[in-house]
Amino acid sequence: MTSMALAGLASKPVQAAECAGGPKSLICLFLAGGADSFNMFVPVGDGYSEYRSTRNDLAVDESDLLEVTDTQQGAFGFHRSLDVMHQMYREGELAVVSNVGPLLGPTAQADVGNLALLPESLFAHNTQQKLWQNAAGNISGSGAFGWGGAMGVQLARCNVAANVPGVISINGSNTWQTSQDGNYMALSPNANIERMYGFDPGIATWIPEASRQATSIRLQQMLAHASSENQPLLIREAADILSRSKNVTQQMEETFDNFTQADWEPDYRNKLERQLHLVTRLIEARESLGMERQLFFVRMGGWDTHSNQNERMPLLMNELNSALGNFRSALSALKLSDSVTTFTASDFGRTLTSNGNGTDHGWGGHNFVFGGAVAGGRVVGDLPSYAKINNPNDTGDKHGEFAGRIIPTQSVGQYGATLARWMGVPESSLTSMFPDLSQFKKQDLGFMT
Amino acid sequence: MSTDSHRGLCPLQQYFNYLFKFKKIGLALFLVVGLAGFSQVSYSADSSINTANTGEAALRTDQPLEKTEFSVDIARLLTQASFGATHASLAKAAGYGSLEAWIDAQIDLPVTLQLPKVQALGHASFRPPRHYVWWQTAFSAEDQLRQRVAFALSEIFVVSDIDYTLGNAQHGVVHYYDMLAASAFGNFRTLLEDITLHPVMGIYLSMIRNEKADPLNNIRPDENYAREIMQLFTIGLYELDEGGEPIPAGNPTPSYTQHDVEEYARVFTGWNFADSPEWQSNNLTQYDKITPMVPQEAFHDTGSKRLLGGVVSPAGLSAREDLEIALDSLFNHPNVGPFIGKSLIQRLVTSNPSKQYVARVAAAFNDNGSGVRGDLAAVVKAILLDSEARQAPNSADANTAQNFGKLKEPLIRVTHILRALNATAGVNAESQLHMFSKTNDAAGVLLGQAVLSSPSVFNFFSPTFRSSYTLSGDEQVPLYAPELQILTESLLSAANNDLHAMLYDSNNRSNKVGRSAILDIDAPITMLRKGRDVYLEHVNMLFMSGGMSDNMMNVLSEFINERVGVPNSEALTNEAISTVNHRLANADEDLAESIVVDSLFMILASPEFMVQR
Repeated sequence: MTSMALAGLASKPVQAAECAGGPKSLICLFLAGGADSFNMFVPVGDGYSEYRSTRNDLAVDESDLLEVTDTQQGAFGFHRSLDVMHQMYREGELAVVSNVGPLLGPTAQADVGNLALLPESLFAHNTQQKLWQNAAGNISGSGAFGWGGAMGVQLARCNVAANVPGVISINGSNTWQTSQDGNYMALSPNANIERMYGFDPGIATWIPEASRQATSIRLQQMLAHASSENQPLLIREAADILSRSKNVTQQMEETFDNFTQADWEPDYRNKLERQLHLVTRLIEARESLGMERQLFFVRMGGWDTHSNQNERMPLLMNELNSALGNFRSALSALKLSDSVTTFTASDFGRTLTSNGNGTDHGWGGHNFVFGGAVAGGRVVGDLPSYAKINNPNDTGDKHGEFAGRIIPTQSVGQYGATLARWMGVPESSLTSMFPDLSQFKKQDLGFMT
Repeated sequence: MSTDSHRGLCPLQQYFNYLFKFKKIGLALFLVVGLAGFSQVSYSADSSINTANTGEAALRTDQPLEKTEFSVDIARLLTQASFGATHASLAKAAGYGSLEAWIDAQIDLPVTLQLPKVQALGHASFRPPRHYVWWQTAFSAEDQLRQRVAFALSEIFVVSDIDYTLGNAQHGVVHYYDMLAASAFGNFRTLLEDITLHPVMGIYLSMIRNEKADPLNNIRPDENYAREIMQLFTIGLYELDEGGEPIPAGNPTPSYTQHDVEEYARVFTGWNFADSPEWQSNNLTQYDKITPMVPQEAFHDTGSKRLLGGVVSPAGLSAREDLEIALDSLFNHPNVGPFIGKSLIQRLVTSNPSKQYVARVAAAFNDNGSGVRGDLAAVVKAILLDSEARQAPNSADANTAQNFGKLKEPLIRVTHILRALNATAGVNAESQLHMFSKTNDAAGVLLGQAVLSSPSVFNFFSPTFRSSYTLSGDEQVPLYAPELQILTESLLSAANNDLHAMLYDSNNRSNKVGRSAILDIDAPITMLRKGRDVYLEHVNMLFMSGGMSDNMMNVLSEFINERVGVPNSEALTNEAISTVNHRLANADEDLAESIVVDSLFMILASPEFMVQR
């Protein structure tokens, strides 16, 4: 859709249907490296012994699980490092979405031998991150665009009053937010968000005014020339990102001057918490920024636990838990919980089998959605089998043996479409946004109210 | 190989022992280089490039740089092949008479080693020395080409210290970097084995203590190294043609399957730290992170393995025999030349090389002209001397000229500024091991990039990152802007403001103590007094390889005219230009300094400076 068409729609007198329901913010929390979610959320009771036998030395002890129940599926436990998730689940604000992953359609064990029926380059980090973020099943062509970016395009008319994009990365560029119009901004919790000296004559006032005026005017001329059509591709790129930086930092610095409530003191060592702190500030300011819809991307790395998993996973989960706890409290204090939803995503789930003291790249994995608008306190979708023998969910290896890589039973498209609907994306747009969706009977996983 | 001989040696001795492996360079040279490096513990301005010229006629760095066809060629080469051109390095390189002669001389220079300096500055868990010495090396080492290629290799054969295990093994991490520098012009097969057996890589991609399958306990070998050595270090995801394009186009064939990963995973079993008698321990801190890993046969899978290219490693071989066969099978895969060739082109020259350029470099990888496969010196020369690298900005083909070049990596943008302006570390910066920037964390935090600290084995950015502009191009020939992935709004503004502080608050006239780098602006002031166009040609050569657009040149000319009170409506007459030059020659110090600082800031903050062409 061209920007002119968008502008035309935006000028309609009454608020468009997708913008109804007040401001909403959606956060993609990407656990980079492939989180071993099979050890974050574990079956207890009858299912536990099978899990224990398959995971062997990597199994979480039953005594380390914080128990919850699902009315349909029975008892489960969160790893005790995830007590905030446990608490949210019990309070009905968190749903566990079982065994999600990229799929072209419902996929059985017999399909795994046929590459044409499978998403591209399974088990590789970068391709699977991309497939989670583009929901396209392939990485070339339109696969360069993400479903967050596509939602941003759809919902742009809700943000007509905004001077900066409502699609905001707090962790650099990513596929999820990329769209044809490139309309997103990337802020960093590591760098002060301050206006650009030299480009803006109103700051750095210790420098003589003649210098400030002259440099800002001349830099504008250079930017304008570098942006012109006949300039080399990468010089246009440079001019584009410089102009955006100038605009974004100016807008943000002015906005943040007026909002201080969300300014809790984040733990400097917790990188995720620092990102979520910035997210909170941007959510607090969203109406002032003219944004009815915000889409955030945050990232926590370190989950590629091929080795020392039993030591590393608790540290990672503690860090995640601590950040989520403070984020939740801050949103609650601002009375914004009901209009903010956070969902996890990750490269892939990991192998159920051990490689001695860690796990390798798998496919399906559990994910977590939380916020006041989540129909929480339940497990969405059946848990896969953890059996070593005759496991129908296993990819199987070439010799028909157990591989420990679990075929997803719910797709990224189903997961994403459920979230997109909550954000107000019209039904008619969902099938192009999520190409696999039409292959599934269930087009909404029902975890949003 | 005996491993016991390493025990009881001090780290420096072990280091020399290790480096004896590199046959091209003799023992004496190692001692000279190593000890010279060792004694040079702290940075001093005297060791900078100005005094490093050995025995040649004094370089005339008091004369402005002039733009000629040859000087532009040299300046472009030094942008691609060093950490940034300087007045002295341009003058010196020109003295070789040809680009190839400069490259040959650079290849012959001994490697500048960083480990001895890092060890002298602190224990292995202390992070600042490794970065400080890297900046120092980038800034002042004579073997610029080798160091630049080592940096490129560190972004292909990635290890990162962001996790705690390698965070506490800084000496091992910097030794890994030194190994890349020492191997930069050696053979790829040797490099591949050195990387594979380095304990830091062993930790990073968990090959260390990877053991054969234990079916009873449902344990299989770790697939991490097996997967990444194929995907990232040798052949990539798809079958490639000689030009580096996946084939067949549109629906390329995967170059390996999950089953292949599992077979190679079995090969890479049975390796341990050189000084570790035990196999199972989760505390890795105490072990040797420098000596190559050694086999522990009891944990090696001795079954036969079916490898790529129809190679079979038969049953009953030792860990090392299996490893040699497996590395040979990857080394001889036809993908390696185009895959590694294109990766290095993208790090050094251009984000979007033509298929023909990649194919020419791949051919040099396949045969260096003497029948040797994998000669990296030949590959580097082929990359830098290729007609596309040399002539593309002026190509008659509009697309080639439009799309050529790359966004500068943030680190290299800053090393160039510091080198070109003869930076010295301020007293406080030096005592606190600041990396020539305003805080200890600055490089990583403000630039989004710090050597061997990327977020994952996929480096700081993807070679196929695309943006709204590159995405709008022809899908059949997609265009990439890898470095743009980390040039985000907030990082760019932070880097801009750091540059502003360095130029305005921390130049050698305003601040001689300094918590950061102190830039020398005396030299450009001298050039300014020689006349407007002399100055602009000089800074054009120094910072932009002579490639500044006419428009930008004009903007800067008008800026200078204005500052000396000559209205731009009249500036085009010879008389008016004479007036400008006369006023510049006689300007008071404050005005001259102000014009230089403002104009340098505008050049270094400009979109054109962000791009290497």
